Amino acid sequence: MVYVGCVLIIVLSSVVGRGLVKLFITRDKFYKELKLFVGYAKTEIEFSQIKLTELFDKFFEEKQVEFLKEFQEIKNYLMQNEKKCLDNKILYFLKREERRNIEVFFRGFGTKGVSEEIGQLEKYQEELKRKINEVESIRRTNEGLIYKLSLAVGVVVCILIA
Amino acid sequence: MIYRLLPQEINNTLINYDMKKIQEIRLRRNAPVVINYQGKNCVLKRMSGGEPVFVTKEMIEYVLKRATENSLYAYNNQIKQGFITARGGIRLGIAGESVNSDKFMPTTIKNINSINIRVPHEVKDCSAFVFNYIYSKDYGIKNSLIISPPGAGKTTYLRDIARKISGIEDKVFNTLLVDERFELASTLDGEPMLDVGMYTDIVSGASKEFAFSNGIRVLRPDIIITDELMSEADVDACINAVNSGVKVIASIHANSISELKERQGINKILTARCFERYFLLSNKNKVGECISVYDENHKCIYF
Repeated sequence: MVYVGCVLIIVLSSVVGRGLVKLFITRDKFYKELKLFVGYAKTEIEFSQIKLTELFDKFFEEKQVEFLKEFQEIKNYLMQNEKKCLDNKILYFLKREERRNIEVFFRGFGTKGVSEEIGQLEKYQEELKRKINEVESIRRTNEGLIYKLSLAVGVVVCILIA
Repeated sequence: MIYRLLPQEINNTLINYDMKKIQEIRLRRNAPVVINYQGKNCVLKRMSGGEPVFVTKEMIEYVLKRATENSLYAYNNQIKQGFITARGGIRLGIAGESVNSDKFMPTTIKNINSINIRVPHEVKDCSAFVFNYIYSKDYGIKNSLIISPPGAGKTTYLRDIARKISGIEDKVFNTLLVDERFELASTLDGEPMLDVGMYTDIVSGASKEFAFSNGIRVLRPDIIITDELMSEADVDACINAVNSGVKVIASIHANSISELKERQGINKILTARCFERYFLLSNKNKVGECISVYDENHKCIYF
């Protein structure tokens, strides 16, 4: 019985470890897709000046968007002026500060003229590049470590029980 | 429709007014909201206490966001001309700082601090009297010019004329509506927000010079309708169209036909005798009242 319990604890700690690692991967992927969106928006605003609702819809249609639900949330936040902040349940993988930064950018999106808007998007693109590097390096350093640590915690608990 | 554009605070107060009688809503930063109610300007006041509603920077931003559907950049062409056309044919005149302004056209307008929301009114059949002089079964359509001071209803008249021409006695007249300032049809995303008739082609945002010459070449219209002839180039475009055999119905800002004679460049319109009927509108007694009609020799035939 004790052995079965130990095996379950180790499996559980492995699942938790993988979940935590997945959080890093999701965050990394999301930022890459956000950068893709910003680049897409820049081109569309520069050449066709389509409205934001249309821009989002076109992006969803043309690109293989993995974070559709998350981008829908950003679109709703942007279009509904009454919505005060992004839903943290949908963007759970981001830290509060990261969500806040995205909110600040999108709150001002669409409120400027063409050249100003493009300048703003270019600036944000650079910011996202830096963020992606940061998130990637955090992921690389931590993913193996967290998984091992999680397993180690499971093993320690098992030893204590045994 | 207009409520959608305005902040809650203004909407709550506007509810107390009859929307059909409001012609304009003026928002000026740090000043009370002013409405043009039945032709008279008055300060918008709350029912409780009668205090005026003051306009804040946030309110102006809110209105701009709503009018442009959160896409101000998509309206740059209109903004640099000083207006925004919102859904429902609502026209917002804007004032702010002109950027890189050359003599005639700035690159854009920033720090917008005043908005004049013009509430569109479609007064169907308002041109019934005038229309009898424009169209007759025997002579067809006559080249006509509507003369009036600002705010006397020329645009509403032209829109009604376009609509009427579209459906005269089962005849189909190919009508070209040259809507330089998006006032006549108020097109948004290619769709007219106001009824300008079924058989009407609309060219929006283009200069009259371009729209007339290009339109005649590619669309072969029977009639061209346009508003506010402002320059000599506009007048020349009209004369060329008439000489090409196309009927023209247009409008111009002036208080009388004699005032037009004094305006250099514009007076060509009278000397060329390209128009067969002139209608003088006034807003003295009521908006859109036709006070006199002149024939091609500028002789008054109705007073």
